[in-house]
This record gives sequence, structure tokens and C-alpha cells, in this order.
Amino acid sequence: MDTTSSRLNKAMILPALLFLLILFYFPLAFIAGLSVNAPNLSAANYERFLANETMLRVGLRTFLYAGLVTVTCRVLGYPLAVFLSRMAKAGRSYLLVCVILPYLTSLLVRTYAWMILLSDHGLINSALLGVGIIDRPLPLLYSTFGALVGMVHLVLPAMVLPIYAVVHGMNPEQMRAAKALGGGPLRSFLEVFLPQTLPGVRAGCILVFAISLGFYITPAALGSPRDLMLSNIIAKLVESLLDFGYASAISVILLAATIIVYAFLGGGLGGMVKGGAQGSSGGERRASLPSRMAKAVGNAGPMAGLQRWLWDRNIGRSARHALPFHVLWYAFSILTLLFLILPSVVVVIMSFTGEDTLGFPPESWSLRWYKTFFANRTMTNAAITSFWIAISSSLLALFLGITASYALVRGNIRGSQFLYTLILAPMIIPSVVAAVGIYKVFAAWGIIGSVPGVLLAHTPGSLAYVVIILSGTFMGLDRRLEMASASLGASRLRTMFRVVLPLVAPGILAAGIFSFIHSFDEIVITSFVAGVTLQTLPQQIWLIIQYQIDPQIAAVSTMIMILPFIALPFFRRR
Amino acid sequence: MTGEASSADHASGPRDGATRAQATAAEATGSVSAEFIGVTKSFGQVNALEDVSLAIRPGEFLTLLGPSGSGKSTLLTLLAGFDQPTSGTITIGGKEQTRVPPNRRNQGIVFQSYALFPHMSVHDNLAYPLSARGIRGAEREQLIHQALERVRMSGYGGRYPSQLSGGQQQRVALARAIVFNPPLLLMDESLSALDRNLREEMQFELKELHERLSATIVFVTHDQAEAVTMSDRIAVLNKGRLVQLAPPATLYKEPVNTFVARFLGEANLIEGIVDSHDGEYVRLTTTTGHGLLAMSKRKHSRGERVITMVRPEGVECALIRSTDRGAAADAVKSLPATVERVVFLGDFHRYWLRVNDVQLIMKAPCSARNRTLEPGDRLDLSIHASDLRVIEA
Repeated sequence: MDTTSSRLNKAMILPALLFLLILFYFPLAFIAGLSVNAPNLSAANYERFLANETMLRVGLRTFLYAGLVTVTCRVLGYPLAVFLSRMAKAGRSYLLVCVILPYLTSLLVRTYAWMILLSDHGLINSALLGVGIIDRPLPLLYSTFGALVGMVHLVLPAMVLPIYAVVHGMNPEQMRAAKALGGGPLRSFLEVFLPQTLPGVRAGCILVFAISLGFYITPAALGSPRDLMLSNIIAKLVESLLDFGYASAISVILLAATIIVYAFLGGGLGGMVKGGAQGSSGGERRASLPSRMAKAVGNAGPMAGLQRWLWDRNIGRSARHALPFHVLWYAFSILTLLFLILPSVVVVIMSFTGEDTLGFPPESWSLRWYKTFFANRTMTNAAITSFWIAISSSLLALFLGITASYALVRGNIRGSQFLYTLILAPMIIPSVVAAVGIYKVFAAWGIIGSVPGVLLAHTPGSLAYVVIILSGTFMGLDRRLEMASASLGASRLRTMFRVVLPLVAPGILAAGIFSFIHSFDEIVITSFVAGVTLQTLPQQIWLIIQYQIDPQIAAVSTMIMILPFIALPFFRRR
Repeated sequence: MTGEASSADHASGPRDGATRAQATAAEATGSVSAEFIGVTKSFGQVNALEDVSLAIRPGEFLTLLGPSGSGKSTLLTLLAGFDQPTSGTITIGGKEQTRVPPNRRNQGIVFQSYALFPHMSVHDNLAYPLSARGIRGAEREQLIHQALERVRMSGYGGRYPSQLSGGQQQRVALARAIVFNPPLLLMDESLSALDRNLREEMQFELKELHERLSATIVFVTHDQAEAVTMSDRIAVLNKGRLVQLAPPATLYKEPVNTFVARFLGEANLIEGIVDSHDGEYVRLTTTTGHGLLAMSKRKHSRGERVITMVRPEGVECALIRSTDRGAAADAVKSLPATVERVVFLGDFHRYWLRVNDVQLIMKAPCSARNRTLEPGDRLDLSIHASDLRVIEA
């Protein structure tokens, strides 16, 4: 393209970049400053952390739990991902939905679902009592076991999708070739198949580990007080002690840990940022830290896996060759799938209970909890507030994200990998860390407790989703269509509105729905920024489930679960 | 040629074998459709084009031919306005257009991938350039109808590109590029995506269309057979340089160097030393020690080393049948050769022959009157002086 238009293409990154610098990176820098300003420049806050045995134990626990969750996800996720990619096409898309749906379902809803399942009268205890293995309910809820099960359930899709993406991209003839060359199923699997899937496994592990470091809601809701993690401590320091210096220091430690996991363990899996366009996973060169980070973030994102599945026009080459121990393998995969979808199903069932408690199975059926919800002004008002915030945050994220993605794909910007990292980072950085910074900065600006404040705080996260989806969409858009349009005499504006935007419309819609769901579900940053006056739906739900297992929440949750179904048609390849 | 026939307003175009001097002369007479003047394009350290000067005549079918990486696509990209040269000038219709963006150049472009807008019907694809030019209503419909008729796609207006076959998409892409009657039509490897039969059909149709449209066509291809059948003139590019610009027959018969000789068809190269030079005829002794008579357009001095070229069909052999044009005994010299390998091609036999350490290829028609040679056969070859050209000194 001519020089003026390419300059314009580059400039389109600016709105998103400015937005993030002011509303995301400035707050992060702010807490970094706060952490060493106690009140004069000193490392006192860090020394306090290192000297405090309880704190160190929490820190250690955070890493331990993240590790446990990662290992469990790997054990459960790998067979499932391979199983899914080997399925025939028709069945596969339905089963994949079972992985995608939980991923799109509200984190609070899923946590709540586990509360129902794990409670003394919940499905698990009822079943065990019924069979007669136990004679009194196991204390599953508010235990380490409960917290870990909940966390594994939450992040398992983030393990399955990157592995799925890699396996799906492999040439199935390789396995046939391996067999033709005389390898038995086990040998072919170990020597040919497994090594090639390792980049996906690695990506999945890094992603799961980093997300797990930042867990906040789940340990608080499902675990005992001895299961709290660093995020919970940070929130507690801010909420009840107002000790921002100390909270900031711990935030910086958590942030550093997350960045280290990404930067130094990251890499591998030639993914969506540039490499993905060519579909190559080889040719790893020594890359600079920012570009490695970008790769790790961009590539490892569960979105990347999802995205490949979405936009990769390769015809699904399904080849069902026998995997080793395939009966066991299939059974194990199906059980894992059940584990993924069962909580959602139970929530839907429980929402129609006629009882006051959530014993399973319900003894009578009714719509009374739906009625309760709609009669509850606090809840409905909160839902309306959340709706408007989510709509406006998505529109803002779409505007920033469309321009930024176009610039990243077409602008030929030097250092675009680093820019990718900057834009996608809000997806990875623990919400509590961002929340502390944003809270401090927004308080100074006086926008705590206002709708604009909350929607601005939601937008960095939404923007990351928009960019990861739309940059893939723009990559899939044949550049020659734009060239053809220009050659036919169309101005840039006409090309944009008549050719580019209509062609990426499905991607824009999908991105919009994703960012809507993200904002509608956001609880951590919201609980800091919304103050006491503004109440969103997730805040209300969180408020209630911290103290009781209210069937009303099952009704709300069921309605919230309709959202991802709206998004599903966009995942079907046309 | 069609070039002259269809460009009535630009009376006298220079004839074959345009060199840079002739190209400049053409500019002086005003019969130039577009021109590259000293164009260089670098990507970092690499020169994709080096000092290319080339004048395109109105109404001609000019092919840019070269191996991949020769710069032919870069040349087209610059002409289309998708990129700008590092140095040099591009004029279109007599006006300097080097840095004019593509949407203001008024050229039709047919892309290799067709680049049809998948979300628009055939009709809307064709309407697109017209509405960009403010042409609406009945006039627009008339032009669309006409263009579809020209590519024999009338009645397909309501279809979407995905509902068309490759050949049909090709036609629609062509129709879209000509619907606004651009004076210059650029085609980038436009036929390469088609299978062989369809491709030959399209070549024929395109040629016919060119004659009817009186448009100037610049066609890029790496396929020399395609270039030869379709073009009025071919510009052969190699390593970013324009090597030769001439009508196909001239390129074939009188290539300027071994690259062109080898790139266009099969070439037997014979090295030798000049004994004497008399007008167009050069008498030389080959490295194998045989005397030959060749044609040359250059001046040669005694003792100079030269490379001569003869096409496989120019190699003849008395054993097969007596040559009917070898009457002028002084023009034909004979070489003793041995048959090494024979391949039957249906209409022809291809023979690999050896003259000492030089290998030659000979093509002989398989007619009932000709006998087939066997490996090991010894024979005398004759090469008529007019078939043997000095191509490099």
C-alpha cells in the first residue's frame, strides 16, 4: 500500500494503546511505586512480607495449588484433547461445545455450581450415602479438596484447547505412516505422536499455572480459611486494613511471578501471532524477552486454540486410528467431559426445585426461584446495571479492538509482538493486582462507584478478547480483496465499509459477545471499583453465596448460562 | 499485429525488438500507454528491480515473463500502484503517476486468486467499481450486462462467487476488471490457478477479448508456453533486470543470451571460436573441432569465443530423411554424432545425441516416412546456418 495509508494503518493502534497505558499500565506502575513508598523509598513492605511466616506460607500455598491444578489438568486434559481431535467431525463439534461452554460460562456460576455439588446434601454426598459407602456426609465443601476441584474445573478448558489445536493441526497420515513403518500403536504414539503434541501441552500448562496463581473467588468460596491464596490476602489487606503499601508489595510479587512464568517458561507452539498465519510451529529462533512473552501469551491463550478451531478453514481431517488402550482412553475422556458439564447441568436442574434447600435430587419442582429473582428489586436492578455496563464496555472495546487489530495485522508495525503482549496482558495478569492499582488511581480521579468508572475498568479485559479474536479474523482476510477494491477505484473508506467490515462481521459479533460476557461476569475488579453505591449482578451473587447456598442464585445462574449459547452459532464454521 | 490495428489514434508504433532507445522513441511519438523509466525497487539490501525501462504500447498484449523472483510481479505491483519504486518514474497515459495510489489509476486488475468479494453477488462485484466512479442506474446496469456478455457469463449476475467454478470465477474477475473500460488491464498470473484444459480455453478467449476490447493488456506469467501463444511482445526478466523485449518469434529465434535461449524452449548451445566473419555469416570452429556456419547480428573478430544456439528442430539428420533445404551446400555443415537415448513423444521423437563431449537434442517428427534411430546409431547431423545463431560472445 502507499505510504500514507500504511502510516494510517499504523496509527490505528494508538487509541487502544493510549487507553491501556492510562487505564491499565499506569495503575500497575502506580502500585509498583506505592509498594516501595512506605512512606519514604524503602523495601520495608517487601521485608515485612519475607519476615512474616503466615504470608510466606500463603505464598508457598499459592504456588503449590497452582502446581497441583496444573498437573491435574494435564492428566485430565491431554487424553480429552486427543480424544476430541480424533472424533468424527459431526460428533466432535458437539463434544467441543462441552469444553467451550464451561469456558464461556460465568466463573461465579461455575463456582456456585460446585457449592451445590459439594454441599452436605449435594449430588456427591447424596450419591455416596445412597450407595452406602459412607454413613454421614463428607465435608467436601469449604475444604482444600473442594477448592482444588473447583479450580481444576475452571481452568481445564485452558489446558484442553491449546492441546486440541496442536493435535488438530497434525497430519493424521503421520500416524498411518508410523504404523506402516512397523511401529505398534504404543510405539507410534510415544515416538511419533506424543513429542509433536508437547508444544500444546507446554502452552496449556503455562496458561493454567499462570491463571491459577491469580485465583481469588474460587478458594474463597469453596475452600476453608486455610486455603486462601495471595489474591485473597491482597484483597483482605485492602478491604479491611486499608494497608495499600503492603498490598501493593504483595501484588508486585504476584505480578512478577506471573510474568516470570510467561516470559521464561513461555514460547513454543507457533501460534496465532504471525506464526499462526502460516501455520508453522517450527523454526524457533532465539527471541527477545518481549517477543517471547508475546508469543507465550498470544499462542498459549485458550483463545488461540479456540480461534484456530474457529477460523482455520482446513477441513477437519478426522482419522480414527486406534489410540493405545483406546477403550480406557475413551472412557476416561468421557468421564472428564462429564466432569466439565455436570456442574452446569446440576445448576439448571436445581433452579427448578420447589424446596427451600438445594438437596439433590429435588423433591418437588417449581418456578418459584425465578419468581423470587424477578420480584427482588435489588437483584433485577443489579442485572440491569450489569447489562448496560457490559454493553457500553463491549462497544468501547470493539472500537478500540477493531482499530488495534487492523493496525497489528496490516500496519506492518515494528515491535508488533510487544504490542500484542501489552494488549493481551490484561487477560493474564491476576485481576486482584490490576484491581488494587485501578482502585487507587480511580479514587484519585473520583470515579469510584460510578458507571463510567466500572465500565472503563472492565474494558482492558474485554479489549484483550476482542483483539485476540479479531486479529485472527483480519489475518484470515485475504489482503488482495482490499487491493482489488483499491484497483477498482474505491477509496479507503469505501473499502473499509463495503469490503473489510462486512467480511469480518461474524468475527466482530463473536468478539462483541465475548467482551459482553467478560464484562457481565467481572467480579474482582468490580468489587474494588464499584464502591458501595453501585451494585452489579455478580456483586450481588457473590454477596449472597459467600453466606448461603440460595436456590435463587441457581435461577439467576441458569439465565446467565443462556449467554454463551448466543455465542455458540459463531463457532460453527460455515 | 493487433497492437497496431486497434490503436488507430496512435498511428505508428515501433516494430519488433524494441530496445531502450526505441522505447524512448516511442514515447516521443506519443504511442505509449505506460512507461517505466529507470525504475529500481529495493527491499532492504535486495534489489527486486534494477534500472528497468520499458514502454508499453497502446493496444498491445505485453507479457512480463521470468522465473520466480525475477521481478515480474514487482513490476506489475508498481504499475498497479500497490507499491512505489525506490527510484525511477512510472508514467501512465503520458502522465507521471509514480506515487498515485491504486484507486486513482483507473486500471483493471485481474488477480491470481481472482479476489472476488465473497459477500457480494456477481452483479454487485461488477457494480462495485462503477459506483465507486459515481455511475448509477440504467447506465450501470447496461455496463454490467455488457461486461458479463463479453466474458460469456450473462445470467450469472445473481450468483455468489462460491457458487461458481474456477473458470467462471476467472471470467467474472475479468468482467469486473473491464466493466469500467480501463485503458490498461493488468493480469497477475491470472490463469495459473486453472487446470490445463480450462487454461488453454481461457487463453484463447482472452486473446479474442483483447482483440475486441482494444485495451492494453499487461500479463504476468512464469509459463513460457502461455507467454508465447498470447503475447504481441514479451519482456523477459531475470534477477530484477529486463533481459529482452521482443515479439515471441524473435525471442525464440534470436535470444540475446543463453538465459533467454534456455528459458524460452529448448536450446542446444555450442561453443566455438570465430574463424571469419562475412556480413551476417560467421564461420567458426566448435570446441569439438568441427567447422560450422552461423548467423550473427554483431561484429566478431577472428579468434573470438562465441556461444551459438540451435533449437532441437533445427538439428537435422540425413539418416532420417534427406534434407530438402540443404541445397546450399556451403550453408550446411555436418557433425558426426552418436545416438544416446530416444524418447517417443507421440508426434515427435526426441533424441539425445553426442558429438564428442557436447550433448545435443534433436526433435524429429514421427511420420511413417521417418525411421526411428536406436541408441548407438552413428549419424551425420546438419545444421542450417539460419538455424544456428550466435547469442553470446
